[in-house]
Amino acid sequence: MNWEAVIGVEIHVRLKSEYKLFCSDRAVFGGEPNTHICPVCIGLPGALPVLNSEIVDLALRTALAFGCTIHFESVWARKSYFYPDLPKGYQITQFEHPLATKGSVTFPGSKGDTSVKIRRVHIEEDAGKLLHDRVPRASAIDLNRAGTALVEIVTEPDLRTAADVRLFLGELKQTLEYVGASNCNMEEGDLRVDANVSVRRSGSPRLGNKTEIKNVNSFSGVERALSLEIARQIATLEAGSVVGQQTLRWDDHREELRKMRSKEESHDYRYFPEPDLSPVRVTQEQVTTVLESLPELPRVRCSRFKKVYELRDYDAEVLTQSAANADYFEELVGIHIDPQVAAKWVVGPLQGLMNQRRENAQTVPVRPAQIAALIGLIERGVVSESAAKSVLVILAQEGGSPSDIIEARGLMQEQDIGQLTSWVTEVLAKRSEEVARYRGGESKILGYLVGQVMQSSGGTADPRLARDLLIKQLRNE
Amino acid sequence: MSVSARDVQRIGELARLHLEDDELERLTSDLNAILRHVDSLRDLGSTKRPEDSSQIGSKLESVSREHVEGPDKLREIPADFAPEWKEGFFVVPAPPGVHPSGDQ
Amino acid sequence: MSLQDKVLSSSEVLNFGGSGFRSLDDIKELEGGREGLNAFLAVAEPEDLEACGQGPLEGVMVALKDNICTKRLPTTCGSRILKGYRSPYEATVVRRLRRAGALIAGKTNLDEFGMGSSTENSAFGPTLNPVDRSLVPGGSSGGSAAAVAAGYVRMALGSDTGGSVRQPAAFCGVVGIKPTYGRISRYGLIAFASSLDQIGTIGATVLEASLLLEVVSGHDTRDSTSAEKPVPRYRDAAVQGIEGMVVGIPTEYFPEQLDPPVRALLDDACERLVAAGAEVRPVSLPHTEFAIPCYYVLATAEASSNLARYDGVRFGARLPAEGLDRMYELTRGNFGAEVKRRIMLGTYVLSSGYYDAYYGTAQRTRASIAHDFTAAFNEVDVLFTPTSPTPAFPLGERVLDPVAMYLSDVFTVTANLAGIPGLSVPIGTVGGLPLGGQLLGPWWGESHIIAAAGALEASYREDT
Ligand SMILES: [Zn+2]
Repeated sequence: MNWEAVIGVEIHVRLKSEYKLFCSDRAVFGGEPNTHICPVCIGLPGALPVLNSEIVDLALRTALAFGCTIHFESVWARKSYFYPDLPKGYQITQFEHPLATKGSVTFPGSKGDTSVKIRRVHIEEDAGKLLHDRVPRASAIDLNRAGTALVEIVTEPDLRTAADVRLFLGELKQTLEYVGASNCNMEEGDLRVDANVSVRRSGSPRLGNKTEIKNVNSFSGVERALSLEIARQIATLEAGSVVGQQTLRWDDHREELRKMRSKEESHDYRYFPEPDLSPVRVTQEQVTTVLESLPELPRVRCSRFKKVYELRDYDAEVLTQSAANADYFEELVGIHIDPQVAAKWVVGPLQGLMNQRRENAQTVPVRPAQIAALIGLIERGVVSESAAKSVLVILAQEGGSPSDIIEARGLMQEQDIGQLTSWVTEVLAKRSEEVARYRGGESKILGYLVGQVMQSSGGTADPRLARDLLIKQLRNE
Repeated sequence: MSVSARDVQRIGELARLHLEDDELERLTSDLNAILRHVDSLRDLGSTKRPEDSSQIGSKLESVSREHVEGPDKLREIPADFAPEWKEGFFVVPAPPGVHPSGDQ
Repeated sequence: MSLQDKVLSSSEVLNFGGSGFRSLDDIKELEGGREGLNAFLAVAEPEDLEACGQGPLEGVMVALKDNICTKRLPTTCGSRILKGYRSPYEATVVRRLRRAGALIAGKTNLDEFGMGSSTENSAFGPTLNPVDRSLVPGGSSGGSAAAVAAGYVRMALGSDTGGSVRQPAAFCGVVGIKPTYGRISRYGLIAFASSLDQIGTIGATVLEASLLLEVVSGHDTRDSTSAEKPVPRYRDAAVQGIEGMVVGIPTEYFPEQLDPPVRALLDDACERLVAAGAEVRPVSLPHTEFAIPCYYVLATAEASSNLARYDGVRFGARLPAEGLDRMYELTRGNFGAEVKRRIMLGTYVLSSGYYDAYYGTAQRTRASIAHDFTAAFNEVDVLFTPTSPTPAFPLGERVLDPVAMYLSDVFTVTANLAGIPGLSVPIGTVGGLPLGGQLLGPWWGESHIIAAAGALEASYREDT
């Protein structure tokens, strides 16, 4: 019989809010240490938290994106423990009554579409940072991050393989970006993952002892840590031993799991309702407003693109990976560009341009109307496709209208038979070997010869006319 | 319910309070005296409650803040009130198991 | 012209300056001498008196309990752990006082972090009762009550978590008001138990305590639990009379064991209320007996959490030690015995396995106590009770018996648990010691209890 892993994850997501959760400091990454702090977020005596309402909306976007049930009243709680990066000696979080429960995420897993239930989504404040390489023989504390807003997303133990966990996290990240809840910048620690895992005989209803893996901030790290831990648990069980309940810390540099000291993990958090804050109250109206403002989620949009625009799977998936690309595409379709052609341009040349310029579909200077005009010029034979790609680059650099650029730079497609004939004659004279092969029956060599004519013309030749002229001359001689 | 000296020791660790032996002994007897009194609460345990929520705060409107810059920025640097402050950081002895690598 | 005449004769700005009021030098001299009460932990220097606004307290010296954050003066909470601590920001009430023209005379002594009923738990020595220096002034706002009773200042702010304004006011023979929870901003009040703490006012007269209340009340965007309710002119309530008011007498607050002379004074006060036009009738608050255990579970649970920030990391006194854990334990070992006792109890009742039995039960009991009051206030406008079962007790008498000390709050903790306003007003003396009568009102019913207290005060004034 085979072994099966049972995995649940908790993801801490930094919300994209401008200010901290309970004070008016800016939530900024980096910068001089301890410059974005105030009496509230460093826990000075007498300071009190006041909820920043912007953050509730961001958390609602998150919860609604996963189809969660929103609770109209959720309650803040204090989670107590001592650590130098936790200013008040407790973290303000939500415990018994979270903002939202019972959602789900469906993602393309290794065995096809896979569903993971979301147990809860709640809001909490982040701690500061404890640094061990700044001052000699001591630890340094930077509290700029203390009090910034997080949501914690907790799944049911519905995942079965380390690879699926990674795919699930990818889907989750994409959704969070899509709905604008988080920047999901992994380098800045916007997403941090804890996972709990146990192993059992496949099909067994009983759960084994689980271990918890903490402190992982890359998806590949999660996958590697889980793979290692699953293998270790299987080996333990096969050797007839018992897996001990424990907490493990992932060391990203050494690629290893290390057992946390028992004192570190034996927390008694003494949760109780936060008396300084009234419960978070959300109205049906607020929920409706947020729901209406949510963009269509990637997977829904992807299948709509396939169905409505009859796009290939690949194009639909690539287009919907970012909301901005998908929006760009639909704008093109909206100005009467054939969906297939529009998809080809966004996935191909436009994406190439954006990669090169390190821009996205929102920031790239070439707007859909300009590309639509360019496509129109191709269809009317004014410019060749290859020349059009150069026009695109110039559009990005200089702006303006495609027809002006084509005219100014002489990029019109050459349709003058005299000019075309001279290029064709020139190519045939130079490429006698290929001409012979064509005449010997190797008709597919024609494409190569057309390419040569295009090259001679600097891309301006009308390829259809060039091809006709080539065939005519090859047959005549 | 009553507490033993060991319980009190454990609570002291949880609360990060250093207790001398005589303090431990006193606290154990004090806490037991208080708990005997507090246990009368549990006689009430079975009677019916008029309300299930006693959050006094829930009588108040929920207050939240639109994101505006508040006036309570720290005008002086924390060096003025921090027990140890170096190069812009609050400084503490390293937590157990950590070996700081700061040079100088 | 008396203070009251001034209020009645002028709707304009009141001028409290002039004769009869102590200067900073007077206070320093009195406190520094052999007759000193140790009421003040810090007295302001003239240069600390910042330019102030022109409001109803223009030029008036006001003392602050030393758990209210000030920038100019240290804020110690009566604790070694905050010795010398200077807050980098100031409490909302301090800002409001200055806007009203008040001058901050100094910071008054208290039981460490407000935990106590006698001001003997201060790390900086006890405060003496000005009526009799062998007695405690009550607590935890003992310094503020003593400073007003001794005439150092006419008004002071205290804080009241379980009776800490009303009980010392009663012991010192002055007036103390704990308003409705949410009436006064707690921003800058160093927390003891957040759901129970409320800043309160102490005055030599009902009018002064009421005027001070009027000045510091009102919504504050920095305190989520402060209410957006308009502030009535409490100074007018103090003189408006009580014709037709219905006063409830809760039987549970008049137990058999009450000393006969205490009971006699309370009966006399009831007669005076009737004489002033009120109707008096008995009511019942059946959950009263559970108030003290309920209070000590909730207050200590919140305190254990509120006091976790005193860890020697970011502010305050740190005891140097090898390693973080040792630093925490030694630094926090600086707390006094009573504070440690309460942190321990609070940590225990919140700890895994005990939460429901203690904290959960106490929360439900709190709801029952609050419900008792709601029911009573459907019948009556205010309630009248003793503030404390006894007058001031001798220094040292209860220090070693925490339960006996806790029981001296038996009549005051209910107002904090229910969030309702309470007031203590002098109702005569027992063996030369002042006794306080307590008036309790419904949520936002400060004006009613001030009116009733004003009527009582006027009645006693007529005796003399
Ligand atoms: Zn802040």
